[in-house]
Amino acid sequence: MALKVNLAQINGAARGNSDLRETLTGIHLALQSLYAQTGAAPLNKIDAAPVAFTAPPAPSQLAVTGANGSFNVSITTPQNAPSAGAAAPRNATNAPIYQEISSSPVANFTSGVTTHPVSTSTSYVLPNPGATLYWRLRSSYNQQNWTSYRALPGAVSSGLLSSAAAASNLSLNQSNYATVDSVAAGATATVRIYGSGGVGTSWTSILGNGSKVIASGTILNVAYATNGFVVWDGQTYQLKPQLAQTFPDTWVPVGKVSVIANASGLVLPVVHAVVTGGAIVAYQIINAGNGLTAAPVLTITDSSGSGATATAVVSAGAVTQVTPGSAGSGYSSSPTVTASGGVSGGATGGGGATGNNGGRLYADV
Amino acid sequence: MYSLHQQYLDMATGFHVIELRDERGNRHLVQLAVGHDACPACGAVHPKNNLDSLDPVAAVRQISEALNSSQQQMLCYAAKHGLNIK
Repeated sequence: MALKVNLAQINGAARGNSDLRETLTGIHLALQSLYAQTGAAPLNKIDAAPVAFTAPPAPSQLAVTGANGSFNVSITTPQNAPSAGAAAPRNATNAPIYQEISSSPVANFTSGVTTHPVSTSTSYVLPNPGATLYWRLRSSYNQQNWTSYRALPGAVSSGLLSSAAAASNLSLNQSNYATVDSVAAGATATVRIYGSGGVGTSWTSILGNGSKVIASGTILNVAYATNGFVVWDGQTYQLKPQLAQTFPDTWVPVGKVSVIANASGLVLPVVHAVVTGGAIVAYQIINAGNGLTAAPVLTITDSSGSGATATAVVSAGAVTQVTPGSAGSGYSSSPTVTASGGVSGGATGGGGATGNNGGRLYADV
Repeated sequence: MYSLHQQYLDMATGFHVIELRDERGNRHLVQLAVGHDACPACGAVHPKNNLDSLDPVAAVRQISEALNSSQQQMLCYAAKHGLNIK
């Protein structure tokens, strides 16, 4: 039985599967070539016009560098390659060349291969902090006939994402399993850092693809009515009053702790209202407060305006957000926002202190 | 069992750092804050005024006893159930 096939049928059968289309086309072209050489027809040739075979372009050159948690990929097309040693064809017409780059954690690309979308672009920035990958490239004029893969000889590391290069509110892809809390210890408080096994157990920090076990800790003689960001500097714990002080790239942020003695040690937040056209449109947190165990009630008073409401959101003992309610009307330029409450269940912890889990840390600087 | 491995005063961070280790390499850090405190509202620093009353030896003894007591209980548990210890 004679088998009849043409390129249109192959394209129809393969649909979106470019690998299948490429394979079938290759078989078809090989059989056509065999027919031309031998005169024997393994297939009934029904294509009216000769098959237009577009040879792959001359190889493009691939360069990949890593910095600040990203891979910087640069492709040099044949027409832009140095002339020395360049083989024809050089793509003198500057025809678009489709590039397909792929990466793998292993040198022979037998597993974990990530193939990036085919494009005619010649430069990419691919964020992937903490990764070490091998890279390869193949090129084509028509996305059917490709050059062979050309792989870089060694692996490339993207490096870690530095805090200076991180956008605000960017997840740092860092998780830890430390619990940071504080307990009253007479005239001062004790801050404890420990793992899932309880006080005195180590914890694991996960950063990118790596992890490390970090010793538990006890910080004694911490003053009440303070906020602290606990960070591991590689040798010891540090207790910093500002989040931004925990950002050196080699340090491991652990968690935030808010230390208070009791209700008398509570620091209520200071909030200012932003007035536009007599209405309060936003709120500015001047002081986030300390030791809050419940959302404080915000009362807005003014010599002329009325009707505005707002709600405070508390996290880790401090106000993190003020959500405007009714905007009110008739307000002067400087209404007074008074915070009250902020403690649930009476004196916080009966003279104890509050803290919170380190968990996932977000940069907000 | 946990015992004193090293201790030093870190002038840069204001901590008296005491490192406890057990025979398996597990570590626990006891850090006495002897530097200044910082006001959360204004950031002003205030030197500690209670250094004379600090008793690091007692603190280390208390923490070591707690850690070792817990460790002893775990070892007894492992012995009772025939568990290998990592």
